[in-house]
Amino acid sequence: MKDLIIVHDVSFRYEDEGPYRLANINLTVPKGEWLSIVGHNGSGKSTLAKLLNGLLLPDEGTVRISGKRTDQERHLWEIRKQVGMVFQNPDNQFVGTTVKDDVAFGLENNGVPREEMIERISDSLARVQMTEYENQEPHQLSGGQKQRVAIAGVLAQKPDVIVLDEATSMLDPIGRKEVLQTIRELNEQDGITVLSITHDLEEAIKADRMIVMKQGKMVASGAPKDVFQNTDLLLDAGLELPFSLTIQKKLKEKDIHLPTPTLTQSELVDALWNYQLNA
Amino acid sequence: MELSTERLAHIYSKGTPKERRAVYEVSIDVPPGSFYAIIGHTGSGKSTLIQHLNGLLKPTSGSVKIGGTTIHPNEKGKRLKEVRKQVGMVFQYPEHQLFEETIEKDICFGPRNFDVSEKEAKRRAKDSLKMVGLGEEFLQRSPFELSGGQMRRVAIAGVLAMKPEVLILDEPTAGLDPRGRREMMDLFLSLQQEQNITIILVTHSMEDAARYADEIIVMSGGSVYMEGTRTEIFGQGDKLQAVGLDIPESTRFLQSLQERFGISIQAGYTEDEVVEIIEGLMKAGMHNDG
Repeated sequence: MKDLIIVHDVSFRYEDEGPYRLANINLTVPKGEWLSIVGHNGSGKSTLAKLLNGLLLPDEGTVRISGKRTDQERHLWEIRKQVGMVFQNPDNQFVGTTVKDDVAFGLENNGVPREEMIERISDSLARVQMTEYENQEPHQLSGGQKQRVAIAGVLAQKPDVIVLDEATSMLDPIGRKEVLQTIRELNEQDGITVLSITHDLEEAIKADRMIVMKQGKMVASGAPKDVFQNTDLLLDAGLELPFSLTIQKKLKEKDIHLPTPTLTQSELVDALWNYQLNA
Repeated sequence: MELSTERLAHIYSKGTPKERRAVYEVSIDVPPGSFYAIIGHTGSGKSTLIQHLNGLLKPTSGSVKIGGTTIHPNEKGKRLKEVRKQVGMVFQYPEHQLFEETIEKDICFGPRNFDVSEKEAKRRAKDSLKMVGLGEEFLQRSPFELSGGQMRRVAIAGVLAMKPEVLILDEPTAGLDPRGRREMMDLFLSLQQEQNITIILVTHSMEDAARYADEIIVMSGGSVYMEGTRTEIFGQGDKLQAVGLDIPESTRFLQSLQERFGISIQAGYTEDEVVEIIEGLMKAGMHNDG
């Protein structure tokens, strides 16, 4: 796989004399990867996301998207077409007077021909199941519906990378599964790279790779099944454990020791079954 | 203070091409001092419903009863203002509404608007900041220097400074990290239990609804679809899934455990309950073998 994103030794702070929000970050993301980024509030996750499409520029180090540096202005337009961002609070992202106009906005800016634009809008609204709302005014939608529209806006741009910054936080459980399934299809079928900043550890478990941020530093990186072995590190980074690990940890306090860490519910059921057989 | 609605209906942009019915004939009754959760699929009418409970929206038909005040479709603004003092509303991302240069001024803004004296407003600022777990040293700081979780606490303190009898929370933990979320939910529970404030929580977290609420209202397509205790609601997983909702993870886990073990296992809704049930099960197993 080709490296699509290369973050090299990046440090960043918001004020000249202020504290560093990110310190010496190195990160390489190959094309087609699903990468989850987890960490407490204020750990630098969102700052990192904004560095990826040049919304913020590094104070030290470089960020490259397909080899193009974000701090070179001539590349910015192309980089922003390549890297689609969906933020946590959709209210801050609406520009159109109707849902359809809103999704069209980015396409008009990029000079997409009208015929193709119409097709992309209806396709991306259908993917997030918002077709019947296309003529609604965005402010009349609920928080979760707005998040769906914001995601449709990014899908319509056909980016190479989608960065989701807590972008499904306001969806109901099944809605969240549906939207993540849509993005998973784009990832698997169209090879779109996904960076998902999330507090949902159950979602992180399904990623190809996850990184853990703590106070501006990357404290762990690897396959989720490996990262989740180190429960102390996760707790120390201000996170909670996934359900099955939490139960396992609490059982240990009750003197019920299961031999290997269980990441999923079915692993835990199996571990308990074996435990009672051997008891 | 009692809160209820009687066949409440709301239609947005009535009489225009954009007309849309958001709530149909909803009748609910929230007793004083209780902890209610409202859950529902995106767009099920939850937010529209709660905006009637503090007079932000007026019913298109039906009525809303807030303490001694009944609000009818053609209500005048003045009575609505009185209601807003008694029913505090914490919107999604309340920290976006902070604007003053110090935290003290920001918290005092609401009470001052309702003609509370400056001295009393400052006293309330100090008290409500304490209620949300922040010390006096924060009073003179700028709200914009705070972390997201702290800013949200300040915004909630601003609502508490109005001394509401009811607090309506619209997805108050969206965007907080797991630890911040737990702390915030425990704060609301303490407000209900220690200050006797009625809590109405709109949430997408089945776990929070199961863990904190006395009573759960399930909305779907603008109507009340189910109402009951967590046992009544989460005992009907299929019915919930039919409207885009789900059962808590703990409940689902106990169901798979029951299938695998081939025995009947009692229902549980929180992690601690799951641990307790497993402990009982494992010890019983050992006993049988011995």
